[in-house]
Amino acid sequence: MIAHWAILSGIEGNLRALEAVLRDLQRQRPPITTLYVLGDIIGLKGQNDAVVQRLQMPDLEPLDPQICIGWWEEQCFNLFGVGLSGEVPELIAQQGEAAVGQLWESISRSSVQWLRSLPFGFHELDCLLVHGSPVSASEVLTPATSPAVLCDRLIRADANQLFCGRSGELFDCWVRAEALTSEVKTLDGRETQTFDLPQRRLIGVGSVGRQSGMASYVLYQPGNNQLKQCFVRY
Amino acid sequence: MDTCQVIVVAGRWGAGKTHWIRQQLAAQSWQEALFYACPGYGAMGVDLVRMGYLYPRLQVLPTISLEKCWNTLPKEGQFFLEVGYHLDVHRLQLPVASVKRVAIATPQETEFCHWADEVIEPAVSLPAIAPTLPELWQVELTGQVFDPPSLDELLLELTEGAYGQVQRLKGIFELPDGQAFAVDFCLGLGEIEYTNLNVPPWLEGRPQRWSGLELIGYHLDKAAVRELIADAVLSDTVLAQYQVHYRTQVEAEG
Amino acid sequence: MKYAVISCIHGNYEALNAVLLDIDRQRVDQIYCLGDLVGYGPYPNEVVEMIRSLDIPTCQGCWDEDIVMGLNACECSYPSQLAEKRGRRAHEWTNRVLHPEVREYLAQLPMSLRQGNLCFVHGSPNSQHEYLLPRMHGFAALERVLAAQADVLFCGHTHIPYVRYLREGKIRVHHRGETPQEFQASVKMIVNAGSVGEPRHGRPNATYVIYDTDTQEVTLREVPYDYQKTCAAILEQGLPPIFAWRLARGMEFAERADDPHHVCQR
Repeated sequence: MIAHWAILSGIEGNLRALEAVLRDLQRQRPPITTLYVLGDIIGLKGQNDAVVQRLQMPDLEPLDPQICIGWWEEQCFNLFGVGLSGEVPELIAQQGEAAVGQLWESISRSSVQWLRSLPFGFHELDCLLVHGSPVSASEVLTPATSPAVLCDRLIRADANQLFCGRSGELFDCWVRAEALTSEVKTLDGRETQTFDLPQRRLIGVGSVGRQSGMASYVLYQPGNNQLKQCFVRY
Repeated sequence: MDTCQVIVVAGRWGAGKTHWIRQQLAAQSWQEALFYACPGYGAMGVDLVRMGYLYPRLQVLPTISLEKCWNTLPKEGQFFLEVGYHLDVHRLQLPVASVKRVAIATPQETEFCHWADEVIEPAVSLPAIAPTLPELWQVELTGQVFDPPSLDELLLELTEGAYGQVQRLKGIFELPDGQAFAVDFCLGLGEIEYTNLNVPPWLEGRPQRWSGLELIGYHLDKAAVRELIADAVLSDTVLAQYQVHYRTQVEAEG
Repeated sequence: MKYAVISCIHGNYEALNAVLLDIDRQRVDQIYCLGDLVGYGPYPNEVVEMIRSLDIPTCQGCWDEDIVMGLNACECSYPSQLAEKRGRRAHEWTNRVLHPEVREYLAQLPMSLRQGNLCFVHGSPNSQHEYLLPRMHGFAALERVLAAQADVLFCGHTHIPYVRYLREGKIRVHHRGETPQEFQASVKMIVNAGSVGEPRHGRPNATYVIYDTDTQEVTLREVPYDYQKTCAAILEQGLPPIFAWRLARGMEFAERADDPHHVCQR
């Protein structure tokens, strides 16, 4: 069977958008072999518990869902006291004070527990799939990000393709770096070295639920590196 | 008739006794049965276990005393008997017939030279001998699995003399990926030597096969070494996490 | 201007005194300190008092942070379980002996300091725990200097001093359907100040650096001192004897990440 990945992010609790995308996946050829969900499963766009349950339903099993956490999940963990910090300054700064109460109300303890069991990301073949960047789930990467930052994140990713979802945008860009001379002097000697970064690819996977009425995601065939950007109206 | 040829090998620590026996084994056609024992190191020891792993067809005999060795002496074949440096060769109770005494020693080590039928010069020059014999200390580690970078630090500190003047270190250690390693070090002979024992990976619970550490040295701070070991081995929880990880990896590759 | 930059004193009062004496002889205009005043060594209070009394601008190190906030060094920043357990013992001891006013001082230290085009941090601009090792990928190193918005980035934390010049790197970003974006950095420098009190370069001597802004010249200084005194004090104070053994050999291992790009995902 030809490996054919569907990669999505940013459902943000939008069950209608998720259903529309899942229907769209059904008709893709070659058939989808793996479904990657790169975080932001929950959010303030509808029914968080319903989306969490939907992703665990048996009809998705043939798609072998690989789900990792995103920015919203990290906010939720902090809010429920199971995260790295007991505070949610990022949530307040980006979504306003009211979001704190709304998020708290919108999700059950058991859903939080399930989300807590998800990984940070996936290293598969020569690809790294994460929500934000290899550094954190909050970091936004786009082609407009400072080239030095992009270069560093791709070095850290240690992969030829980096898929990410934080920006919610669809993009497909290449980064290449060359001819940096590094001279190091220590107490015991001197060493000169030249550094390059062979061409690497950065892919934005769009957002399923952020924009009402229009979902986006990507399809990827690891066998031939072919990428397809998909839009679904619902 | 008793046709088992007994080859008793003696010499100081680091002289190359095991090395010489391995050379003899390498030259064998393995037509006849071959035996190996290493009295003076308790029932089990690093050399015994290691030889067993390295030569699956070699029959290693766990021995506590030499007498026991003779009682269980096989009827035919060749029997390599490696005598610990700390045993007095002149007091060894050897059977009368079919015994060859080999000493790995310099001409200055008259005690060995007088005893032996054949004296072989050590392949390497060893540091001068102190007037007193160093102490032999064995720690059994069966079931213990080491955090790999901690094991590196532990071996570095032991061999560099942080816990007494270690002359010789031998060990068999288990790692969380299920592999077991043999480690060999002799003061003055350079780097620590590592050998992968190529045993089946142990990825379910604590390994139920022998592992341990042997130190030959002066003024060994045993309490501190015990504490060092305790700090370097994995807890049940951490070991279980590692094993889950490596099992998945094995399954993915398999 | 001539700056002396010191780092990672780790409660080693003898070494600090020797370094300050050496700095006096070099006639510098200003001293900067990159943190880790406490931890491992036997005189944490005395070291902090000395730095305070001389009014040396100092940024916060990972040990200073941990002592103030409670031990939260991420596990992945220790090179081994052994190092971690020893680190914990050192932490507990330091936590017990530290004076309240010293703790307050450490708590208010800034994460970074700035002087013109120079930036001073303990580990990296990202975190006090990140190691900028001399062999780290050149473009990753370049990103750290740019992140600090500086031309010269001073750091410590690795306990081995070095100076690294980064020249002529070119990065090209090609976004499908748009004109490629090209970026070329000017010459940047990373200067690691080594360690005053817990050297790791294989000799027991204290290390620090001097930077001359006029000539842009960096001098790595190695200063012998009576380390046996510190070793004796380590034993006297009941700290693990292995710290003394390692200090005498310049092989302290504090914290060290094996992976220079190590990403903390705690």
